[in-house]
Amino acid sequence: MDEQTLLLASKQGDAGAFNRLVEHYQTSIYNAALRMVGDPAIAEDITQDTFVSAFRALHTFSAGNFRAWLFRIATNACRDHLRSAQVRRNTSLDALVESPAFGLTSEQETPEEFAVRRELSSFIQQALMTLPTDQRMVLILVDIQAFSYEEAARVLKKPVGTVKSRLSRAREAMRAALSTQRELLPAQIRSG
Amino acid sequence: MRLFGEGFGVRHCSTETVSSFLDGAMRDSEMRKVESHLASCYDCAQQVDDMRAVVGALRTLPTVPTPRSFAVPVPARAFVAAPARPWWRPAPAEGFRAMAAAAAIALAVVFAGDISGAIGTPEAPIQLGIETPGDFINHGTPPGPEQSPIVGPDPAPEPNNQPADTVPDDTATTPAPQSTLAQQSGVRLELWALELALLALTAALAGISILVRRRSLSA
Repeated sequence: MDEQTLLLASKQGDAGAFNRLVEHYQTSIYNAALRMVGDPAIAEDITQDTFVSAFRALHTFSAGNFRAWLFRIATNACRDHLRSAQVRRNTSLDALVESPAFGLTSEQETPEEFAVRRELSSFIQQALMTLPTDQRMVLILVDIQAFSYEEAARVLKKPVGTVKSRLSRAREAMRAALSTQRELLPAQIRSG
Repeated sequence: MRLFGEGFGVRHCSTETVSSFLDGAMRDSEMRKVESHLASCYDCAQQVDDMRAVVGALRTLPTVPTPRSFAVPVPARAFVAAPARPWWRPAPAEGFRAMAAAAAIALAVVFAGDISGAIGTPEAPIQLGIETPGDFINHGTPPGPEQSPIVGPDPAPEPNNQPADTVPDDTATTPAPQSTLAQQSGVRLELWALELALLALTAALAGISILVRRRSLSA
């Protein structure tokens, strides 16, 4: 069944059809939320809230890009959380990136490679958390979730020009942060 | 977009130019200008390489598996907002509930009127079969037998034992009290039946609204 058919059934209250859409999008929504808030438990809550809110508000979704609509709900939930929970700023970033969610083992890599990748992943997450919320959202959408500028603009309800400028500032900030840790970057990336 | 900025008299790519160049998000003519500049500017070329490394690192971040399924609980009907209904087409249960409320209000009004005497009393008669209710009001006593067809047969003529010069006393000679009671009990009977009917209607409508609501929830 294609997305449109599932959406139509979901709008008529078919939770089974909606849950097939959930299965399709839950990993990307969870990962975006995780990169956004940096806390697996909160990312879990935000992901669940996103799908429940989406199911409730499905009758307001007429047509268009469902993924963008879903991400808009998720980014709004992240923004609300970050705005209300200033206490998170006091959360130790070291403790945060120690979470197993940020360092996954792969069967192909050696223990040394795994250690370096885990360190890089943790460092990137730390650097992400230092970015202003708006820049972080654009960076996550475009560079991690592979949204186009137009899609990201639709999610954030901002002009494409704003997305471009926020993205360039976020990338520049990340470049400055990672320039001190160039040795962590994989060789193929380092060499360009 | 301004492609280049000046710094210490040297022209360099702006950050936005580098970022857009990496994504190929500029016109062909602009792309060519930047490429030409990068070929001769080590600093900008280095900036492009660094930013490319950052974007590459972000794009190769591992996808974290979800800790659990985020499926919406089934049955999830409770999560779905009910479609808005126009006020003139209420849900069936609401319609029955409104009718039950109206019947209950009518019952309360009739009952209150009955208890207070505002309905069915000589002051505000609603009796059926009374042709001249005004007589009740004017005289405070019911009409005589000749004016009250519902009272029954005329009383048998009594021997006139009174002196001829005595003025006959209407209240003493007519069977009026008996007539009033009969009429009022008729009214009471009517109100009692009306109250009972309204009570039954209220109960029936309330019961139907509950049944309809349960059926719609279980559907």
